Amino acid sequence: MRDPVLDELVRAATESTAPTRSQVRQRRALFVAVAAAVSGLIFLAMGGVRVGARPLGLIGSTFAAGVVAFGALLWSGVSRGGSMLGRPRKLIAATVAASALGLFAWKVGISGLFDRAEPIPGRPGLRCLGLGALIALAPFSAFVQARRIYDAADPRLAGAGVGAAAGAFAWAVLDLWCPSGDLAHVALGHLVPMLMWITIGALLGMSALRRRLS
Amino acid sequence: MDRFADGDASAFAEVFNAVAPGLRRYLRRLFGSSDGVDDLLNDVMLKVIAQRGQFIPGARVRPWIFRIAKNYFIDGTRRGRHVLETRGDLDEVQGNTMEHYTTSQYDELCARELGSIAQARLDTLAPAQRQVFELIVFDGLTHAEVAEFLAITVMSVKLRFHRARQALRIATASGNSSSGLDGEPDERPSP
Repeated sequence: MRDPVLDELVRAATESTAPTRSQVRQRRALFVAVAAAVSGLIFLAMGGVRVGARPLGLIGSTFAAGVVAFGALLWSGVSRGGSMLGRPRKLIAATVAASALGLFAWKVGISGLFDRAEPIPGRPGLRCLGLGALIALAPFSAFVQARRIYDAADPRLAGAGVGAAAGAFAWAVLDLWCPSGDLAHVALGHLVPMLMWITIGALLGMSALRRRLS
Repeated sequence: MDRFADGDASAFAEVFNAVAPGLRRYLRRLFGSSDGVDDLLNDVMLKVIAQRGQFIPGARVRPWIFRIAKNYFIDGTRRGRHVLETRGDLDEVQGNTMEHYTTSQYDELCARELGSIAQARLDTLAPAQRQVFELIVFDGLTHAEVAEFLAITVMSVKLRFHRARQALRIATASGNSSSGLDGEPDERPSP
């Protein structure tokens, strides 16, 4: 016996203008390209890469840590892997926490090894705080669109993962520009923006959850 | 689902036929009523159609669709938290003798009574065990699909299912009736 619901749905499926997988991939690629371009322009407007007195080894190692953290968060927080429901929650939470703390510890520790951990007068970290927030904005928007956190089983955690990925991206870019390795400066100017985007992502997810439960 | 996601509309019927039976049962349980289940099924599958471009190649279909159904339920269209109530109401047949029933009426009466017994047994289970049990036995999901849907490990699923079956056996034995609910999850109950 043919299912009574099927005929209507088959008609809907045939007439549907919902994007196909390849169309969605194209849109995502466009979003990411635009986000990268916007962030790149902001970075260039800041002055681009500034080596100054910093050893290339220091710049390379801190930038590389940012890239690794960004890659890990892209994998755990933005990509869903092989499941439509995303990666395991504990994995996302662990990656977010480890990345934020790890980047902070690495930046401060490596700067100390290179004798670049002394505070720089007039650089408390406020400029980095503002730039870190700004550089992450476009990638955050692109990642939210790609990840569809509103459909996640745990939208808060999905949002936090996306925010962390955007924050790590900004961290890596900032490392090419900022000369300071002072603990207070790194905390205010580099860690706080990342924590801010993690929080924004989680709040975005919470708003989705609240709408569900209301 | 991969073919449908890539634009082959004719593949949708296969997706529907694969998920509809279990999804119907799940929706019936979720919304606590058989009324309007077809409408709910229709709404959920329309969402699947709308989101086809998001489907990851090779991903499991049923945990995703069940998640859409659950989110749909949570998003404000739920009809109450009532556990599935059997439609058995023996009051209407009080005073009648068996020869007044046709065979189909008698079968329905027996089915209702059996449903009441089964419901009572399920009520003895812990919520987490019951959820796993129902998804496997009634909705036809595999261990891996249940694990993905509930965001727990496969081992947890197996443990909860095992405990549910043990609890049901004990409840059945103490009630002196057979529940007929044996079998591993991959041995789907015959329709």
